[in-house]
Amino acid sequence: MAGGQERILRRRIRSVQSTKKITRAMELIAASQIVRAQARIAAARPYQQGMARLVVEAAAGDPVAAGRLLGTPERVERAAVLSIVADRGLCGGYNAFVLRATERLLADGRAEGVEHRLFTVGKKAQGYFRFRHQPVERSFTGMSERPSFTDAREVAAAVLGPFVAGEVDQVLLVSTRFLSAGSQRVEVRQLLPLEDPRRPDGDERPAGETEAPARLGYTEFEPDAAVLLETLAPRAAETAIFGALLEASASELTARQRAMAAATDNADELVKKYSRIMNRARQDAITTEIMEIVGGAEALRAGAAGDEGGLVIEVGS
Amino acid sequence: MAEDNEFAVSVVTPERILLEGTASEVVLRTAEGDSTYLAGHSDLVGAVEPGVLRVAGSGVEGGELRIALHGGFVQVESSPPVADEADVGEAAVLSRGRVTVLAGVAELAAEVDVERARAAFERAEARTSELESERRTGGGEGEEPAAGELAEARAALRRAQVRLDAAGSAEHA
Repeated sequence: MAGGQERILRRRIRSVQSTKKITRAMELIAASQIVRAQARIAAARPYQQGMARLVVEAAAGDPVAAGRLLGTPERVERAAVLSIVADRGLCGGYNAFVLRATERLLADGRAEGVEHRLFTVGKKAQGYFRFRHQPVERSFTGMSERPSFTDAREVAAAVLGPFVAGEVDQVLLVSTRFLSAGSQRVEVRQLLPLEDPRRPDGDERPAGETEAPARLGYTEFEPDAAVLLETLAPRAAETAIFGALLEASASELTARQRAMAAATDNADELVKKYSRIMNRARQDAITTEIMEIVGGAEALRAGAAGDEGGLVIEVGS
Repeated sequence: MAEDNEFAVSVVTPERILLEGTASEVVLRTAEGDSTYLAGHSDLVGAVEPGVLRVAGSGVEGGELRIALHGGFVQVESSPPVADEADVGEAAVLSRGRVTVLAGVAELAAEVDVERARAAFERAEARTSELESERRTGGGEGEEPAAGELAEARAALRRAQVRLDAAGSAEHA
């Protein structure tokens, strides 16, 4: 019956409208948190830069010791991989992109005979890898939206431990870089050994840094540069992990805001579409009803006329 | 304005810049003991042990500032490159050097929650002595995890001690 269809559509519209309210709220919440997340990235920068300066100094102080901890390892047999995603979904392809990149990295490793040990941050990674029977050495949850430095420390201790103990040759990081509010990119980076600051591109030092090397070689170290590097390298990598967590959280929020904005727009469209169909159905129902009434009245009249006619015919015959 | 014997000092943590200003004296604890840095110190990179960091200078309220420092690194630059936006006064300060302390965790003495630190101190103390006596009497099986726990308890004890030291001295001052 036509009235039933109308009721179903009305219910549908109401449900889409309440979903829209939720997606709209999530969009606004994400938007407000992005600002804070960006501020935290900016606040962490002085520390990161300070760490980078220390690494430059210490590396110059003892190039031999630096050889083990800096640059790209010649042979990688075993590597630790840290993959950073979100605890929650509803953020478009954010989680999927990182997880797929991680999966690809692991597959490449299997092909090349590199043994990978996987560590993850984010609840979404847990489910994904469990479903694919990919063993995860340790997974961390509950920090993706608002990572603190204490969180980063905990993750770093687990992920960097094997490298410090000499069990792996390399520590890789798969995460989303927050380049700007409009642009984020999934990247695979090497955490340890540290990127060699002495050779950012070839042997040339980038312009503007000419001042720093002038003092190199005259710096005192307490303790020795070699010993210092041993303690400094994990700290620098820990700082990088913290930075990555912050960037990931900002990227997650941006992705969520975008996804929720799209969902809200889509809800608007659905409401419009369903309203049209509903109105047409209602109009149809009204038309049908009128037709029925008119038809009924007509039939009644025709019936009455027919009776008379019958009588007339009877009379006539 | 900064005095003649003052240099730039900053204490930076991953979450914020704790202190940025000038000082005539910075005291902190390194592996070899307490070190004092004055203006014109030579270039140095060092590891900092947990302890109280003291910053003294005319720019500091009350003459001395205390910071509870839970390990980190220090970099002393005798004449760092002058930042672009630095005015002449700042450039003069920078010419006498810069001390940058990088610490994973650090708090200003005034921000330390004394009661919490005291409670943590007592808890850590009890745990440490408990583990130590366990180690003496027990031994054998499960020794390694106990050693890790003991190290952790000792670190917690040290942290609480540093906090109390920083806060306690601030109260006396």
